[in-house]
Amino acid sequence: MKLKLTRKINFCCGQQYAFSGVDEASNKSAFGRLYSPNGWGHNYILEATIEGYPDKTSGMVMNLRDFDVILKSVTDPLDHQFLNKDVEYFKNVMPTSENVAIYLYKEITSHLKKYSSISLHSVRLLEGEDTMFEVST
Amino acid sequence: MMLVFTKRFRLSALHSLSNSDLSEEENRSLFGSCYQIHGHSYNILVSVTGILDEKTGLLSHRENFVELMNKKVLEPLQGRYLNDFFTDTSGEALVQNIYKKTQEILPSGLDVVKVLLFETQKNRFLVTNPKYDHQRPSTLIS
Repeated sequence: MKLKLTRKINFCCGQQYAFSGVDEASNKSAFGRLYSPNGWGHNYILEATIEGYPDKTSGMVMNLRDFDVILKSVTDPLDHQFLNKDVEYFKNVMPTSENVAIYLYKEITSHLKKYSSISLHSVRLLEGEDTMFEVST
Repeated sequence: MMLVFTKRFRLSALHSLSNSDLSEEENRSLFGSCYQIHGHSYNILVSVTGILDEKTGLLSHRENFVELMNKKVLEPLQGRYLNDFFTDTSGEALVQNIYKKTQEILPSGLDVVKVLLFETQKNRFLVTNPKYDHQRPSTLIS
């Protein structure tokens, strides 16, 4: 039977929602309360859900040790970084939680390519207790 | 690719489960302690989907949606006796009501995916837009 497996990982990063080379008033009008002159940070929780069949030998959809390696390798480059400046991808893409969730979805998908029987079902990114973004196909 | 944004709203309000067609004794026997006026700290998780604004990187109108939810849906009920507003104040009725109100106030371009209402830590009610039935139900953010 096909089933879904979800694994969590935490990471923290800083970001600023602002267009460069634009004055404060324009940024305020584009981002409202989400604009701040020095940015802010989040303690993100990432929940990735994969879909597949349990392996005949191990009984696992995916060994959690391997799943953790993937989740760590996609979140480590973001962890304790200021996304706008420190992460190449976000130099041209606004580091909103929406875009962080989409980025993680793409990265995990590409790491899962070598597992032919497993597909990524969804990525859920929690900004805190009250706000959550989910990307699925 | 589908992007769903979920926001948790909190509502503290009073209610009593009762049916005006029944006598006090019948109400007491049907609803038990729920017939007494009591309150809940409701947690309401509202999920919406829409289009990503490529320029700002935000789901279009999401901030506007949060503001409208607070102002138009939740604030009028905050700290109030819900029976003054609705004939049925059960979790079932309330979650449907909030689902409908969300649809009414929703900025164009956004669509409601689901509304999940926690009456207490032990019981919750979910209404899903039939269009998005394949979405898995939200769990309380833990």
